[in-house]
Amino acid sequence: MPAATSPRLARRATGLLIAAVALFAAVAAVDVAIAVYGGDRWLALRLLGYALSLGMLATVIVRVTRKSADDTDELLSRNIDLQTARHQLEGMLDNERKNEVELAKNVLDLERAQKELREINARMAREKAVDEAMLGSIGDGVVATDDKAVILFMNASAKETLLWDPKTMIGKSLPEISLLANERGEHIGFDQHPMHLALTTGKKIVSKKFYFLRKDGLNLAVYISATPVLVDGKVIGAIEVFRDITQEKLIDQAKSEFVSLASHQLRTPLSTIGWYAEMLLSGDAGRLPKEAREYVLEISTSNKRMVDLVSSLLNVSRIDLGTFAVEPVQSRFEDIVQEVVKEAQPQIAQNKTELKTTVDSSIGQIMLDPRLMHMVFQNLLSNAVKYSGAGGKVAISVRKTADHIELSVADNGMGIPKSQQGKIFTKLFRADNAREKVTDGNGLGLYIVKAIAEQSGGKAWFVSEEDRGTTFFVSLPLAGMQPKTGSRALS
Amino acid sequence: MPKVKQKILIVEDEPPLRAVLAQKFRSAGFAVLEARQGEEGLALCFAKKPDGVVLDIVMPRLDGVGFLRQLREDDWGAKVPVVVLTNLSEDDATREAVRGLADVYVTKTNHSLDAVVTLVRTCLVDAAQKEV
Repeated sequence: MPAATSPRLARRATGLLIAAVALFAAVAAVDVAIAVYGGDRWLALRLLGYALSLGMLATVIVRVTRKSADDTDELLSRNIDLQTARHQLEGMLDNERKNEVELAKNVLDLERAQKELREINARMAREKAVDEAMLGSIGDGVVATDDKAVILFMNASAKETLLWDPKTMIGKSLPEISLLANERGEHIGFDQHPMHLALTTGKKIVSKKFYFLRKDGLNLAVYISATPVLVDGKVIGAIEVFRDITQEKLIDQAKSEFVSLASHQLRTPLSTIGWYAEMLLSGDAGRLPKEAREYVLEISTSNKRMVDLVSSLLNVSRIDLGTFAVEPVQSRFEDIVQEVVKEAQPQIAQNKTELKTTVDSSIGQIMLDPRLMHMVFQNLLSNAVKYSGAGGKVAISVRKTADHIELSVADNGMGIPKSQQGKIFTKLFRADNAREKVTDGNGLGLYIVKAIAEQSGGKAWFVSEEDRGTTFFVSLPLAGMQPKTGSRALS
Repeated sequence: MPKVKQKILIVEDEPPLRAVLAQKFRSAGFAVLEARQGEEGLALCFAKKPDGVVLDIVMPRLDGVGFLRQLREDDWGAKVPVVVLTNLSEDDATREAVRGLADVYVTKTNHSLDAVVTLVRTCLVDAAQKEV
């Protein structure tokens, strides 16, 4: 390093110079001594004079040299300082340059982010426009609220249906403006409003039983669905979607009335045929020849099938319209099963069916709709007897498991072909082997059984193997059948 | 003294049904009165004071519900046993209307003529016991 070497060299040079002067002085001193001892005083004096001069000169040189060395040292040290400062400056400059590059990079990143943001904004604006157009064009009314039921948004249909002006409604509390009534026109508090329930329970609520009390005095039958908006499991608001179902209700009512009337009209000729056949068979018109009696019996049997078909169709229409009621009362399975078995006795005797009945006595009294339960057992037992053929074995069982009540009717009959098992609960469906061997049947019984089970909070299913037999199962809640309100009962 | 036959009024607008019911009740030992609709039935009812009435619901002029309402307003009519025979569904709105007015409400297709006669007999016995 030059800054460190230069002062050392200067000091070395000074040392050599002093040594040289000292050597010269020593030689001069020796000359002086020789001159003194030699007796040349003058020469000695002269030499001494030289020596002194030289000594002085040397001292001056030494001093000057020292001074110069000191100066050099100082200069060198300043130089070092300067160099250090320069290095520092250079370092700073480097950092500055690095910072500049970093800054430029950051600016680029920012610009990119800005661009992305602009794109996101544009996309969101597009999506918002599409959403608004969608919400505006759908026929259903849509109202969004925050968690306090304060209205944040409502679409055009909501305005048209309820005559609310969205401009004045936003920011208002839903309970203030959404007035509900029941079927009898009685006002319903907000605590029963689907939106209140959605906001407080965090669950989707759907109802068809309410009417909106409109400001023009009209009561509008509405379908309401209230869905909570959840963020991290917390309810932050809810969306209400509603639809005017006045027309639907009228159509349902018309359908229902039509079915009732049609079944009445169909039953009138059926009762005529049935009663006249009965008169003939009972000998009121005189004793019939054997062959004639058989013919009349055929008429009577077919007539009964027709009566059953009309009843089943009526029940199916009530199931499809959702108008049938489930009205459980305290009942005993034993009584219902006994009654069904008693009614089926002629069929059981005719088929020589071996019937076994097991009812878990610990179940005792339980909430059942006796009429519906009767229908379930009647359908399953009649199928089991019919499809197990002559001398077949049928077992009815009612048992209690850990979490439900399970009814089953098992037979060792023809079973259901594997390929048709998926359709067995379908309306009017009958498996090929059943249609081939047993013509009596309308394919509605199992559809009705399944509907009853499901509408009462239970399930219906089966296990079957062709030519080995079938077991149908119906499960119900441990407490029994769940009630369901409806305008009609199945009969 | 020969036992006096019990008198039954059949109010039914369907001629074949009315005829077969009348025939059945006659052969079961009843005296039978027939009416083709509610108005005629009500007039006949007050004029002849039958022991029991077999009544249809869906009829022209005066239906079974109207017949029952007017009949029950009368002191005698309030007590006479009435068996409603209809083909309306058992849960139809009319059933509600008839509740408390008729003694029995049955669906025609679900009952044989024999069963109808038995029902009427039971009602007559019940009414007679109430009288006592």
